[in-house]
Amino acid sequence: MSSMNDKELRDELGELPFLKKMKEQSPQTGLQVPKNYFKHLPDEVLRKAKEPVPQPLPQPSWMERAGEFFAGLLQPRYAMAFASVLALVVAGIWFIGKSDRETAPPIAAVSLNDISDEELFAYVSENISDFDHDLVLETAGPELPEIKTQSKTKPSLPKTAAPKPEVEEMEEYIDDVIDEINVEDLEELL
Amino acid sequence: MVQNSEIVDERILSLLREGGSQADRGFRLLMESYQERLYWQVRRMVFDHEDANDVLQNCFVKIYRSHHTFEGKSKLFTWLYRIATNEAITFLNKKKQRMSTPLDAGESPMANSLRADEHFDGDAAQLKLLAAIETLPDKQRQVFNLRYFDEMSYAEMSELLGTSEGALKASFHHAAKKIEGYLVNCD
Repeated sequence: MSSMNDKELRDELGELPFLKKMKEQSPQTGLQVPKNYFKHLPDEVLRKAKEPVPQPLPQPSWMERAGEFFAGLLQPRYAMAFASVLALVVAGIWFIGKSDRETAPPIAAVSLNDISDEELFAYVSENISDFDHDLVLETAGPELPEIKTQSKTKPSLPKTAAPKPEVEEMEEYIDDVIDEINVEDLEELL
Repeated sequence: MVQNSEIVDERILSLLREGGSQADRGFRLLMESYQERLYWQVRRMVFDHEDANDVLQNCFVKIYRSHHTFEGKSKLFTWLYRIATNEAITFLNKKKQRMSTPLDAGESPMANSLRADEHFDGDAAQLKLLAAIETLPDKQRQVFNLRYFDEMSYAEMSELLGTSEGALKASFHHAAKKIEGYLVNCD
């Protein structure tokens, strides 16, 4: 192996002068091996191979890991933190429940029987315009003829509600409007 | 010689199968037959003798403990060679992770280390050649070493590495050109 016997290799290195020269002049690498290294190696390897193989530690099962987790929670500092968080959660739930009870509408607590007929009649009369006419008529029936008549005869707006305009003012307003209207526009409108 | 090698392999495997003290005899025979060839394959990959010694010992310990897994589908040396090169590549990858890349692009740490190594007596040209080989990817380095130093035929290399002869020729050609370029630039 110290000389280049392989003709094919010589040809392969033909176009690579540096490598070819090195192969011919110093065919090896200059790497040395200690004296008697190979003589003692088998004993060394056999000694190592016969040493007991270190066994990997067995992995704990998921139940053991869960047990360790909960046992860890019972450690004083974790238990204190856990108890504090639990107390905060309970207090929060209680506070939210209390505020809900305080802000709940009182309607649920008032029974229809507690309201007198006069109060009911007054409420319906005041808010009659909010009710559908057909529904009022259907519900009232013959027992409440006053409501039926009132809803039919009376308009939704009482007559005294709006102020009456003066006649002179009205006439002036109409005259102004007529003056402002163009004759062509009037013809178009007619 | 090939026939002699096959007879020795049969003897080794037969002793290993017997177990007990016969297995130890078989293992000693295996080491005496192949330790030097395997050592040089590993040494030319890792360069340092102590590193090569660690890799080779780990490799032989693994072989001792798992020789029963050898199925006989390839030659015994092919099996041993693959274990040794895998061990060397694993070692090199771990070493690369441990070592930080030098900031200056000067001489490689391997060349510096070899210069002070008592188990290296090469000249400057040989040191350059090793530094150039170090730059090759693992597979190309194997091919180059087997062809350039061992002068192994492509047919044997094909059996050893499980690669086609054409691919091996191409791989050696690329590797040799890279090394030539490295040597020219360093000169």
